Amino acid sequence: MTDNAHAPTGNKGLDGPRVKNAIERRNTQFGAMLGGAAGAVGAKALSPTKTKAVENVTKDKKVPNPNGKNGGEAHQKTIDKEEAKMKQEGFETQREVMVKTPNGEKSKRFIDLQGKNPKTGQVKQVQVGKQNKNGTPVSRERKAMDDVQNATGKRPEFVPYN
Amino acid sequence: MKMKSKQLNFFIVPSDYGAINKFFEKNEIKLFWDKALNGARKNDKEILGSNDVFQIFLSQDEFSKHIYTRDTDSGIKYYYIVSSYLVEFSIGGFYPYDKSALQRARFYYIQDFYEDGNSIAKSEIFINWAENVIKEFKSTFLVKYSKERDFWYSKNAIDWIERNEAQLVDGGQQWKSNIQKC
Repeated sequence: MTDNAHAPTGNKGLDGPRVKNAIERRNTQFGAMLGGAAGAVGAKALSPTKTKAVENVTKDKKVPNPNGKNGGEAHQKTIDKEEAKMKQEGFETQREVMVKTPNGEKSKRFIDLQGKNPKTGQVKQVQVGKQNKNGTPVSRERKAMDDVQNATGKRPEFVPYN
Repeated sequence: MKMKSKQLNFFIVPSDYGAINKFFEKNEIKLFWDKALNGARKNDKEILGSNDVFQIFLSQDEFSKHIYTRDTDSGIKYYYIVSSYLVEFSIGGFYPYDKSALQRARFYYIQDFYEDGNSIAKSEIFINWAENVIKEFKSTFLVKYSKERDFWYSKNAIDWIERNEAQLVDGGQQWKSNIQKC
């Protein structure tokens, strides 16, 4: 798998957009809380010519996360791999799919990854989590899969990240 | 810690698509979909309602530097929602395999993610934009339905559910018609 930056394609808007105006209002409010100068940056952020300060605002914010490597990041990477497999097989994928589980331990659950083929109806569900030393899912994941199975009649496939 | 994300789950029907296409155009929302990366048509202003598109992604010109794709081992390209400034729009509606089931639609976007041991937060501008798109969409097209309180509905979707005496099945992922068609 590779990451590729991608230039946009799509429709050109026509007239006074409500969403854009709403964003401008919110940016101005956000800036006003930080003071006048920041307010000006917020208000300009949607204009085509960006100042250096504005570019900083649009950048991702990086925060070191030493624990993420063993938990969140491994979880995310495992889902990435499973998603690539599903895409290869022609599925449309969704992460964190909400399932109502009214008779379960929790009233709703989120399946980590679900692939669906709209033409055939075939569905694949994957739950990614920690496994015990004997290779079984940890209790939390097992209960989540039980709830999903009871609600949908289908048990997600478990994929460990550890 | 898992990454942070937001989603809105709702039901719409094909008779809503025309107005939604206009909503995207009016609000200068750029539309992306995986098949267009792999040789299918692009720049379709009537993308909702196209027979072979069931999921698209929303963004804006100014976020173009933050849109990423990935390739499968055999070279199929797809949008990578995790790090991209994209809002997923799974259209739901009626899938070709079963026209008697109304599939759930949703908006979904990710606020932060992991990369090389760092937690990366997407910019406030993207998050505000995504929030506003969803908020405007909700106030324009969706209402609550008295018989089910977890999801949002277009009025046309409620009409279809009532006319077809449909039942919510599959953990809330679809409404299935109870009317037998001859």
